[in-house]
Formats: sequence, structure tokens, C-alpha cells
Amino acid sequence: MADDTSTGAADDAVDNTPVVPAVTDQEKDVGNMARTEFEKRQWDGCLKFLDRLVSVRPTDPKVIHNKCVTEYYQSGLRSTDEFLINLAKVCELAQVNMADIDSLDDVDHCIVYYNQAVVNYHTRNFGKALTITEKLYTFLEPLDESLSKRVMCLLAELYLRTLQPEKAIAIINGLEKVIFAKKEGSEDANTDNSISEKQSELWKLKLSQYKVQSLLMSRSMKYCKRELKSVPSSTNDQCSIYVRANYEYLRGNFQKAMRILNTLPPPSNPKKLTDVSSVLYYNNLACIHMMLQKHSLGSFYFKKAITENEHLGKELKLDSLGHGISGKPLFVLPMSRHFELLYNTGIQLLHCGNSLSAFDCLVEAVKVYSSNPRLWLRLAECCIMHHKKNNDNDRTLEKRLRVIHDIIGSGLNRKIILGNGKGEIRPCAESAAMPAATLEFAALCLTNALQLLDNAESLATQKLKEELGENANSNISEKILVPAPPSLPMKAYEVSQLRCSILANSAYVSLLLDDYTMALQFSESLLAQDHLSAAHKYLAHMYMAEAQVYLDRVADAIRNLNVDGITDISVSSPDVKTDKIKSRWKEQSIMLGSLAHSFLQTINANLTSWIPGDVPQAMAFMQYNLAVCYATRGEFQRSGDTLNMCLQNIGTPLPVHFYFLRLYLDLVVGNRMIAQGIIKEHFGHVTPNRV
Amino acid sequence: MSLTLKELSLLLGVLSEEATRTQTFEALGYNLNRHFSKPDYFKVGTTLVLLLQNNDLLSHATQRLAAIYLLFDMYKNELSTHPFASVFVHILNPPMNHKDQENRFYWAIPHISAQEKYFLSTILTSLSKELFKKTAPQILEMDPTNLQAIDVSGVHLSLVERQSELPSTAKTSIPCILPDRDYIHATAEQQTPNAKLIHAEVQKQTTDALLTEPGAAVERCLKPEFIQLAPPLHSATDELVWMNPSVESHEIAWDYNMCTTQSADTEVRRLMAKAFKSALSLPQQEGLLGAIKKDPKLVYHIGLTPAKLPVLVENNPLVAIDVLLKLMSSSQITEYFNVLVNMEMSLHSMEVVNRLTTVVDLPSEFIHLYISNCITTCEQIKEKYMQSRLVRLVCVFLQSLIRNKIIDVKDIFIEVQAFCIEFSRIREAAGLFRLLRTLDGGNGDQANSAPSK
Repeated sequence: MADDTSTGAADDAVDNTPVVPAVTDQEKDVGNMARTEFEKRQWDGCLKFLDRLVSVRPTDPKVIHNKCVTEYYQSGLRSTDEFLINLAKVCELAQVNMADIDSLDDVDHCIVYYNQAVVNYHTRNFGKALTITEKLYTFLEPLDESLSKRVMCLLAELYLRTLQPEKAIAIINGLEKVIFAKKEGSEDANTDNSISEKQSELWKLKLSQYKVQSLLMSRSMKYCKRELKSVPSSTNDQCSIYVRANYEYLRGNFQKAMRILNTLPPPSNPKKLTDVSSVLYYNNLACIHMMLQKHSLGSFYFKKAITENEHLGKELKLDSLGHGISGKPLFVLPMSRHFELLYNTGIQLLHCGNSLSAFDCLVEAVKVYSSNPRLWLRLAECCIMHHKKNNDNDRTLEKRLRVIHDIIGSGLNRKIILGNGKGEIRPCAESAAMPAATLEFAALCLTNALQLLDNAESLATQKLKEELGENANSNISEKILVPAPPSLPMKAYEVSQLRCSILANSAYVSLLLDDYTMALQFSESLLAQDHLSAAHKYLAHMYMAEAQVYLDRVADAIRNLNVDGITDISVSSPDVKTDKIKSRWKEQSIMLGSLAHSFLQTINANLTSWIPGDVPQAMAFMQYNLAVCYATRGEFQRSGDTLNMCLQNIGTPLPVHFYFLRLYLDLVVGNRMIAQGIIKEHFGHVTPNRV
Repeated sequence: MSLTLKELSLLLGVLSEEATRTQTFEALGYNLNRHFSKPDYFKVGTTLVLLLQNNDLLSHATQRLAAIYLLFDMYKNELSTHPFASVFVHILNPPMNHKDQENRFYWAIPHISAQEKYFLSTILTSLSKELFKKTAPQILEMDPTNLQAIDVSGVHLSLVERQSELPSTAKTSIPCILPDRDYIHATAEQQTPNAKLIHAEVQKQTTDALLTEPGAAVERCLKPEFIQLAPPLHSATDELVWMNPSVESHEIAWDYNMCTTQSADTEVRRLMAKAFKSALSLPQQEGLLGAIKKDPKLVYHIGLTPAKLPVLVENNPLVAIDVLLKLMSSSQITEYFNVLVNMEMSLHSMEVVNRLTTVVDLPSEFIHLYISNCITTCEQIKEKYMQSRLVRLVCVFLQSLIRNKIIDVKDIFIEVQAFCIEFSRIREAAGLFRLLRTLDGGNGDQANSAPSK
């Protein structure tokens, strides 16, 4: 027998399967005692027993593993780097290749991988954690029960963190089955009924919280409401409060969301934080304020969230003495909340008109979320806003002063140099690919956005078709979710709105860059979209007309500028007056029909305030462009008449273009006196000319 | 696009009052060519046009005539595509829609005399170089009554033709330089402004400013411009990232399997390790299988992986069968099947598959795959003896599968039939073929009662 063992061991060595000597009864007892101490969280006592085991079983990977784990706990989960090194040693001992997850085939090694995944999860290395955990999930049956539940929880959490709510739901349903099947079994056996009851309550709460989070993520508000009811409102644990506030936030009840959020105990001592909750709290508060259009409070709280986040990060570096992630308890490792906060801040700054700061934030965020089409659109919007703050920019004094570009000479040689509206000759950007707030970069961003959106949408449709089979073809567009990290996945109507916005911006940027063929193409495909908002439709015609004029198709352009065709100019698309917003008004019982409607429009208009603000003004802008078309065709009289028509509604101060066209029309037919009069009346301060 | 200060002073040197009064046109053209080469011509041309438009900057008639000549001279070899042809047409047919001088076009080139007109139309239409040898004063002093009008409609027509091809946007611009009003009267009444009013210094400064500064007036123009409305910011209500805390804290886990394995389990592991190497003795086999039967979860901890299955099958097919049966509920079982199907065909692997088919329902794709695998292996073997042996095995295996109704003959009929025909020299293959025919002909029970000939 002894001989047998030795040859076996020798063979095993060749086969690379380490063999550990059999466990004696005594060792088993010591092991049990160590476990009991561990469960009591008596790390010192536990380590004593483990040391005894190590001395007799120095090659048993399980013993070494548990020793690492206990030491890590003893350090208060601070020595993360050391723990990872020790885990690697355990792997070496068990002859496991940690880097190659596919090589995992022995159930006994799962625990090492699980702990690795947990560290990756807490350091927000979700991708790696997910590959490990998904592999572990295939070993679910042979795992002991506590570990298999842990694996499922971790997997669900990771799916949530990577914004894959459907997958999370599937795992949670599986977990529910496992837990409740077990509960029935234990009741039959009649053992420890009280404890299992308590535990099952706890599990129930956890499961509901997971479900609510997944449902919120897929924004199935109806099911979510049902599920929320099963979370007892008395529970005051943080997670429930956040989830409930999130529910109200997503439904548009921002005040209510704020009230719920404020039932949280305020972060008592910001210097002694034990978790990242203050970052979450401030971030969410900022979101609410931004949606309530309280921009300064919004940016205040975002700033605070960033400070908290950085504070945590800094402490981490100070403590770690050069090590990467040690020094802070594992659960406090804040890691990449940074980029989510940057994203939020960037969006917020953009909406307050701070385009350059917004650009700086978003250009950082896009390094991490480069697959998000909406983020690329936002970057382009920053560039566009930097170029032109808003459509009232043409009315500013600075712009109007440009009508008279310069006065040169004196006496007989005195010359008035008229300016032009398109502004100065733009400095050539060194390279369009350099991230800078230029129009060339905006064009690149928009190309990315459109490409990414098309890819992501077709991918999502394909995946959904595979899941649903052929029978559910009609439902596909309703169920589709297109990822937009770090935000929630987009629903079908959001995708189509996003596409409209990208096309409108692309057409606009193409015009500015004198690329009229592309501008025409973009505005044509914008008009072909299904869920076109009135504003986008109006813009599509305007852009198309301008492009057509420059492509020498003036007659087509004039047909496009059908002033009487404008009946609506609202920014939101027809089907966005969605359930969500409707339900908001229902709840707040503002049911005065048109009043509610107009109120709603002002809310919408405020978040993305846009000029022209009403139909007459939009008509006036279009009339102006129509006048330009006539002038280009040489119909100066008609052009002048059209220009006079728009004068009343275009709003004051007049856009600078108005003066240019007026002067042009007078000068081109030789009405020198009138032009002189206009200059004297509006720009007398720069032209001391005498009559 | 504009000249440098130095280039401008060179040009003005060529066009100086002194030079234009004394030198012949040919000489002037030669002087221009000394300072400027072809690529500069367009810049020089636009400068000349600007100077012509503002007669306060080019105050002498000789200078203006010289400027017109130089404009012509630069492109004289390509008259049909002369970029400044429109200027000549404009000079010869000045626009006059309003009689009163108040409304004259500020940007029009002032009227020229009949002599100048004669000069210009002659050089445009004839190839004679006679006039080039004269000086500007000579031309200006010609007797207007003797000059006959020369038809330039050809030039005009070709210009109109060329311009009709241009987009209308290219034809809308007008100069942005507006002379101050005070001196309009003065310039309108007399062709040349009162020379006393001109200060050479101011004139030079003005000319420099208009022509040489970057982005100077010469590069600019006035034209109808569209109002370009920027699109509204994209409105997405659920874009901001809301942060929820995690439900579980996800702690580092303790390995509960530490020191729990019985000594018996260690023995099982040892036996398994041996089973991968060589055939186990009967008692060893019984011990191993007994232990696995006792603890249903033990099978996951004995060190078996899909990759190791083939060696186990080859060495201990009976152990492999029992272990696989225990693993049937595992999510990994398909992986084991995959390995089994794709491993090298042998008596043992066939035995394992055969036994499995009798005990559990294997997926039919799996069995089909295995059969095809067997058939290809038989076909590819070179050695005759081994081939016959394997073919016999496969035939017996297939007969057993068919008789036990584990597979439906229809699914594999063609493939197996071809196989039987190929190896019809082997008795078992012929038997299998007969079996197939009876099943095919009589469909089941009838076939058995009525064997074929």
C-alpha cells in the first residue's frame, strides 16, 4: 500500500496533480475549531489554529488559502495587495493558472477564483470579475450551498453594475428558486426553524432589492411598483431608501425623490467615512436638482460628490505607502466612480451653457465610455455650443458691432469696411482628431455617434430576436434596450430621438464646415426619421434649403422654406409626452388640460431652452432665409419685401444677419442713400459722417 | 490672398504717375513681369481691380489706364478664360439704372473716356501690338471724333456663357468697401477727384490698410447670408447616472472544504489518479465506485475534468460509465459528451457510448455525431486488418443501437447504407445492410416477419 502511494504520487507529479496527504481526525478537529473561530470573527484565535494546521499540512492549498483570508480580515481588509499576492501563492501551490479562467475545471479551485472576483468587484474591475463569475456559474451544482449563493449574488450584482438588467433578473430568479427550495426542505427536517425564518426574511428583502434595481434599470415601472410594495416601507436600511428614491426619480417625482433621500441619516462625520455612501448621496441629490432646473445647486452637489470621491482616493494613496490599492478597507475602494461623476458633471455643465468645462469633463469620460453614442453627441454639442452659445448669440452687441468691420483712412480716402456675418476666417485646426472644442472635432464625434448607435441598435435587435424567437417580432421595438454606459440602457423611443439629434447636429456642423453635400444628405435622412420632433423637422427644412442654395438648387430651397407649414416648434418628439411625464401630472392632479400641457412644454423647454421659442418667431427665421434665397436669385425687390415681413416677429435686438442683408439689398441696387441711412441710424457711433 | 507690403510698393512703383506718363505699355508690362510671376497674377489682379474701383487711390488717368492694361496683359495669352474678363465688360458697359448720381453704385469702376474705351476694345479684339508701343498720355490725347466704335460683343457673349455655368451663390457678392459719403459728390461730378484734396501720405496708408493686412478688405465681400440656427440640446431625461448602493457586501469567502475530506476521500482521489494511468484491479474498481455511489457530491471532487475523460475511458471504461452517469445532472455534462464524441474511436469508447445509450437518453445529435465519427475513422484507416476489425465493431454497435431502437434508422439511413456497401466484403457489414433493407422495406415489425432474399 505504501509503495502504491509513493508510485501514485510520483505519477501525479508527472501529471501535475498535487496530492495532499489524507486528513487525520485530529487535523479535522483543528480545522473545525478554526472555522468556528472564523465564524465568530475571532481572527487571532482562528489564526492560531490555522498555524497549527499549516505546520502539519504545509502543502494543503485550502489551509494556506484560509490563512490568507483570515490574515486579510485581521488587517481590516486593508492589505489588499498582500492578499492578492498570497492568493497567487495559493494558486501556485494548487497548480492553478489564475490568469487563464478557461483552465478552471476543478471544483475545489472555485473558492480561489471567487475571492479573486470579489476583489475585482470591489476595485470596480467589473469586466474581469464578470468573466470569472460567469465561469464559476457553470460549476454551480457541485459548489457547496453558501458559496453557490454567493456566486449568484455576485453575478447578479455584476450584471447590474454592467447595466444588463435582463441577465440580472434571470440570475435573481434562479437564486430565489435555490433559496426557497432549500427552505421547504429545512422545514420538513424541522431544524432551527426560527433562524431559517429570520434568514429567509433577510433573503426576501435582498431578492426584492435586486429585483427592484433590475426593473428600474430596464425601466419597467409597473412591475417595479409591484415589487416595491413587497419591500416593507418600515425598513430603514440604506439600500431600500436609495432604491425607493430612484423609483420616484425615474418617474419624474423629483420632490418626492428628494424627500425620500433626505430620510437618510446625513453623513455624520465626513472625515471618518466608512463607505462611499456620501458620494452616492451627493450625486443623487445633484441629479434631482438638475432635473428641477436648479443648476447652481446641482453643480454644487456634483462638486461635493467629486470632492468626497477624491478625498477617499487621496487617503488611499497616503496610507498605501506606494502600494496600489492597500490601506483602505476593501469596501471603501472608490476607484472609478470618478468617471461616472465626471460624466454627470459634464452633462450638467453643458446644460448650464458652460461648454468648455463640460467638454473637458466629457472628453475624460469618453476614454472610459467610448462605446456610448450619446456621449459622443454630447461632445459634439459642447463644440457647437462653444462655437455659438445659443441662437440669440447673433443678436449680441459684439456681433452687431461687426456690421461695420472697420473704418480706414480719412478725408477723401475714408472708407467704411462692412463686415460679414459668418464671422472671421476660422483658424485652421492643427488636426481634426485632436480633442479640442472645434467644429472639425464635432464632425468626427458625430460620425462616431451615428456609427455606434447603428451598431449597438442592430446588435440589440439581433440579440432580442434570438432570445424571443420568431414569434415576437412585433414586440421587438418595445423591448429593445440599447446600452449607453454609464447611463441606463436606452429604450426604443430614446434611440430614435437620439438618432434625430445626431442627424440634426451633423447637418448643422456640415453647413458650418461648408460641406453642403453632406448637409443635404443628413437633413434628408433626418426628415425620413419616424419620431421626428417638430423642432427637428423645422431645422431639417432650414438646413436643407441652405445646402440646396449652395448646391445651386435655389428653386428647391424656396420650396423647402414653406413658412405657412410651421404649426409646431416643440423640442420634444410627439411620443415623448410619455407615460412617465403624463403620470407625473396625473399624480400631482394638475388636470387642467391645456394648462398642464403648456406647463409641461415650459418644463421641457427649460431643460433644453431653445430659440426660436414660438411658432411666429420660427416663421420669421424661415422668412429671413427665404429672403436670402430670393436675393441669391437676384430678386431683390421680393427679397426686400420678405425681409420686411419677418422684421416684426424675429425679436429684438435684431440678429446681425438682418443688417447685412438689408445693407446688401440696398447697395446691390444702388440705394446708396438708404444704406447710408441705416448705417447712420444703427451704427452712428462708429461713423461720424455728416449729411 | 493679399499682397505683402513690399509687393504692394513694387506694384505701386510700376503704376507710379511718373512711370505711367512716360513709359510705353509694353515697358510697363515688362516691369510688372520683373517683379511678379504667374502664381502672383491673381493677387495682383484683385489689387488692381480694387484700385480701379476706388479712384481716390489711383488718382491719375494715366495710372488707371495703365492698371487696365496690366490687368489685360497678365492673362493676354488666355483671353477666352481671362479671370478678369467681367471687369472689362463692366468697364465697357457701365451699369446705369439710375440717372441721378445719388444712387450710383459705389463699387462701380468710374466711367472711362472714349479714348480709353477705344484702347481697351482694340486690345481685347485685335492681335495688333501697335497700341502697346504707345504711352498712356498718347492714348488719352487722341482725338475722340476719329475713333470708330469696336464691337466687343464676342467677348461679352463668351463671358455670359462662362458665367451661366457658375452657381448663383458665386455671383452674389459685392465689395465691402464703402467710400464715405462726403466725397461722393466730388467724385461724381468730376471724373478724377480734386487732386488738391489728396494727401499722398493718407492715400498710401489707406491703400496699405485695404490691401495688405491679413484679412484685409480686399479679401472680404458682402453677400446674403443664411441664419444658421443651432439645433437644441438633445433632451434625454434619464441620462444622468443615479447611484444605488450594492445590496450585498460581497465578502471574501472562507473555504469550508478545508480539512473536511475523509481519509476515504483521499483514497478515492488516489484511485482516480491511478485510473487515469492504467486499468484498476477489480477490488480497486469496486472500492472507487462504491465510494462515489455513497456521496453524490464526491464525484465533483475526484479530479476528473473533461480533458481527462479520454484517458479514463481508455483505461477504465467501466469507471468512466459510472462516473458519467453520476455527472448527468451537472451543467458540465455536455462538455464531457463533446470530448467523448470527438475522442479517438476505440472499443472502449464504443462500449462507453453503447452502455450510456442503454441507461440514459442521450441527445440524438450526439449519437449521430458519434456515428459519423466512427464511419469516417473506418474509412480513413490504411491498414487492412485494423480496418476490418473496426468495421466489424462499428457494425455490431450500430446493429445494437438499431435493435434497441435507440436511434431512428431513417435519420442515418443514407450514410450507413453507403458505409455497408463500401465494406460489403465484411460479413458483419453485409448483415447490417440486410437489417437496414428489412427495416426500410417493411417498416418495423413486418420486416422481421418477412426477411428479404
